[in-house]
Amino acid sequence: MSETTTATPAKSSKKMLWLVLGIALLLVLFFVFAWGLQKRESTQLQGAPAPSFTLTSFEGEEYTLEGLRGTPLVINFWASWCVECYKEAALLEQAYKDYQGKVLFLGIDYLDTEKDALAYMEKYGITYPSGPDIESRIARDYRITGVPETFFINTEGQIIHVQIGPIERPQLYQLLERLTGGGAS
Amino acid sequence: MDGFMPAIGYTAQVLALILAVYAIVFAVMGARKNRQDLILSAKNASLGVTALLTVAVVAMEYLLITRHYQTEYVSQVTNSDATLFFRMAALWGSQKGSLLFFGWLMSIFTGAILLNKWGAVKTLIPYVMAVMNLVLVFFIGLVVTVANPFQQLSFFPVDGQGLNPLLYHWGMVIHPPILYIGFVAFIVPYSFAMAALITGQRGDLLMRTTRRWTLVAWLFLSAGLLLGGRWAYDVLGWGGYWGWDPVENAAFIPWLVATPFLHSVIIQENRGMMKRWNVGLIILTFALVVEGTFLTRSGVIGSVHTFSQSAIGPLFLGFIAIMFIASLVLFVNRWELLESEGELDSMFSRESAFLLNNLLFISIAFTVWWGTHFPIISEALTGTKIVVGPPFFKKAVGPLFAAVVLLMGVTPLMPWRKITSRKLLRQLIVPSIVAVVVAIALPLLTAIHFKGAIMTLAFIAFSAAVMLMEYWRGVSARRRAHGENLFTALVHLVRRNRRRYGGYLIHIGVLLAALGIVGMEFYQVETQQNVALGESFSISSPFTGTFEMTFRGLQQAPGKPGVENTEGLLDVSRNGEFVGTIKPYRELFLRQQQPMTIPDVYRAGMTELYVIIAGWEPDGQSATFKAYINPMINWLWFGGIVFAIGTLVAAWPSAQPARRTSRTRIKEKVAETP
Amino acid sequence: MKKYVFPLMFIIVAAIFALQATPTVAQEPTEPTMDQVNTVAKNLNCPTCKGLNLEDCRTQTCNQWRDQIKDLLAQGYTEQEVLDWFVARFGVEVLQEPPPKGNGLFAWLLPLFGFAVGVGWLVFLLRKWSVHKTPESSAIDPEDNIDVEYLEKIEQDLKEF
Repeated sequence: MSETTTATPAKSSKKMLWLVLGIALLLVLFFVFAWGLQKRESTQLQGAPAPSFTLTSFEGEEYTLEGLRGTPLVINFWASWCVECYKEAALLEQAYKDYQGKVLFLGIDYLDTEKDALAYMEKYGITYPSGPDIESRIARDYRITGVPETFFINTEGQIIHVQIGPIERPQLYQLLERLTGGGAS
Repeated sequence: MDGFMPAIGYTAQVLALILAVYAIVFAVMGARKNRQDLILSAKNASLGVTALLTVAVVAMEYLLITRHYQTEYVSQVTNSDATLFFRMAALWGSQKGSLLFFGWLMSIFTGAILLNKWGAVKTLIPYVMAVMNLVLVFFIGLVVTVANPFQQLSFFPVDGQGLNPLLYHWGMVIHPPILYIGFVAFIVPYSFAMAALITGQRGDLLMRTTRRWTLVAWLFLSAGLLLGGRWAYDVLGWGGYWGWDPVENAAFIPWLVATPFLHSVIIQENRGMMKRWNVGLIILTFALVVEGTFLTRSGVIGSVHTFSQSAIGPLFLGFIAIMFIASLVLFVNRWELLESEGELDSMFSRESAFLLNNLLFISIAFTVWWGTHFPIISEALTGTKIVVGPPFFKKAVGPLFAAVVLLMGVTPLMPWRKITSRKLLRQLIVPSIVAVVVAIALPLLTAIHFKGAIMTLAFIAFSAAVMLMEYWRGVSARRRAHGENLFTALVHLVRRNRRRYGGYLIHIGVLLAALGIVGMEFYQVETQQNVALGESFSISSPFTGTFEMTFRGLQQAPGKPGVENTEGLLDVSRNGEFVGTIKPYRELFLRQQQPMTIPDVYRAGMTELYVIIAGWEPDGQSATFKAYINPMINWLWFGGIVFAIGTLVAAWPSAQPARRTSRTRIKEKVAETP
Repeated sequence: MKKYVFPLMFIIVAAIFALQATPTVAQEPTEPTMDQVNTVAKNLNCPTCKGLNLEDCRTQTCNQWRDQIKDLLAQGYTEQEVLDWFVARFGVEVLQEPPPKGNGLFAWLLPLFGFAVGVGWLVFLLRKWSVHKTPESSAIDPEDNIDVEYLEKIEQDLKEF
């Protein structure tokens, strides 16, 4: 066994190459992990411009963020299998009627089947437009943590509040006031 | 007393953290200045860490047993329904407690090393101590800062939330500790390898120590994996034992890297080759343990088992980054030191068979790692998440495992250095005949027709024949030489060379388990039926014939406290003959409103009829059942037991120094004389 | 020419029958069995409980999704068409197995690539390490060295006696 192995220049540069390669691969991995750790925080969007979306409602009408610029928006993520969503369904519909013409409500149906979604809307008398989230793209862009989750977007297309879980009446109306410029903001 | 316990526990954790830092500093200083007093002081500090963490664990257990709900952790994992047993086991029932438990187990291994006789590896010990305590500092740091299990609530909850219903099972209670022991024990070989790299030793001395400890860790990891499979089979109710879930994979990947190490270290012992590779595998194994722990605890990847998201993620990532990069730098830096001249006399030698074994295992490990990480990697780099589920893993690693099974039989036939091809062919005759006979007989005599199944079973037959021949050869040689009877000869044979014959026993266990896996993968059948009272449904498999099950009604059965048990009664007849009644049931955990479908089975030899109740009408007039026939499943569990016995035979510390080959003895002599 | 008339007529008649027959078969309201639904569901992920497939999950969401599969099968969709429908509606992440196209291809290719690199490396090592001595001169173990070891052991045993 030969023990006197001194590092020749060729060898040490080969070593450096391996080292750099290894560290580079590790850094990619760490980047992926770091990204994975920080990604699912919809509350981080608070105050940020709303990500654009295209929603085709169950009635076949198309809504886009750009097309709705100038109208305050309430975007509600829901699903027919979601027990917590029942709690706020009637309240949202009531608020939609109260602010008809001033604020547009949009329901985004998350991971749901159309038959059950329509039955749900019928049951709770939802009349504001709602549509399926194709490939869950909107849900991903809005980084939702689950359903229900509600985003309040002002006329400049900025998210002023993210509500995780069902919303209560006083808070909802206060936020609607803020959206329409009536409340103290 | 109650008020003091959390303070005692927390203080113990803080002091343990301080002592661990102290141990690192003094161990390194002592080693550098070559001062025994400093090293001794570090050793005492390190033992202090073990003692203090023990105090913290005892304090936690006290709080759990006495239901001290003001402690947030206690209120999360116990409630008034929990029995003493499950209150005690709640220590590892959720994130914070299990981190404390993890750290404590690790400190026990540290203590065990320090109390052991150091002997030839004495010069390494200070750095071993430093590395171990560095890792410990991280885990203790977590429970001291962001994941403090002794955190108090500002109010007194009347009752706790209770353990996750999935965990209310003996298998779930014993399988995490065993798995954790498997995980943390890998810190020992890792620390020795790192210490050798730091001090610039050439890594021959430490191989015996690391091999032994790796075997211990490996035994626990294997047992943990098997018990986890058994738990899934008994409780999760989807008819299988392995779901390729990220948490399962995170435990499997280190196993897949430690296994080739245990083989290639034999090459190093016998031929002095592959030093670099072996040190690399040890480091990689522990790195993967830590990475897997990060993956499953930080919430990066979702899974049924994952602990809820918490603040430990970023800290954990930082730790991994430091640990991985430091290990890599050190490893590459000592590249020349670990140089070993490889020499092969022939392609047909045990060396090359072991190399092939390493290639197969590392390929499997990489595939499983890649599949586990692919969802997050694809989402991070392309924006679209692509899920990788069981079908991928089965297709990607199935053929590789079949190759491993075959190689298991070929390797013992190949001696070190070389074998002439004529001799090899002569050795291959009997096992090959066995394999060919099996391959021809199976499709003719049984219902087994899938090519993959026939091939794998022929491989199993081949390797099993080789193993039995090896035993036979050893036993008959002993009988000739000593005139012993069959049994004594066998006992003496195994006792004389436990590593070899224990190893063969492990392989026989694997082959038996493989029978079960082949049965399940190729021939599991299932059906789901809705039946009214008195109605029947049937399921058939060529292995067992037809089972007919008649629905006899639902009944409430006494269950655990806080759980509503609804049993479905089914009369089972096999091929028209009544064989018994089975009662699959659903547990409804009232507090969490979480259902669990617990299967019931009817055993027909090694095959099982496995039935769960999937649902029922409120009036109890009809119910939906799901039935599976799991061919040869019990070979898997039986093989697992054989496997564990084999590992114990191979790893049990012997009273007299282990028998070594003359070659290593000479090498050690050379190493000892300066 | 004449001899083709009969076969030709036969084919035409058969084709007419076939054309009539297929719609009636498709329209027949055969309710898909649970097993048929499960066969498809096995290839999909449960959307809410991570790590389980759609077949084994008992949540409300999954019940609804399985109902959807049943509806599609009842409408005459094939297994692959149902899967495609789900991918179009919920995205590629509903599939249990990454599709062997687009980015999903990497899931399959990298392990293959890794294995190929491993094989290449192994071949390289075997060549590098091969000692080309004449077989006769290096005949260390004319006997199988298992037996050599065993003889050595017997010697030890005898010494102990």
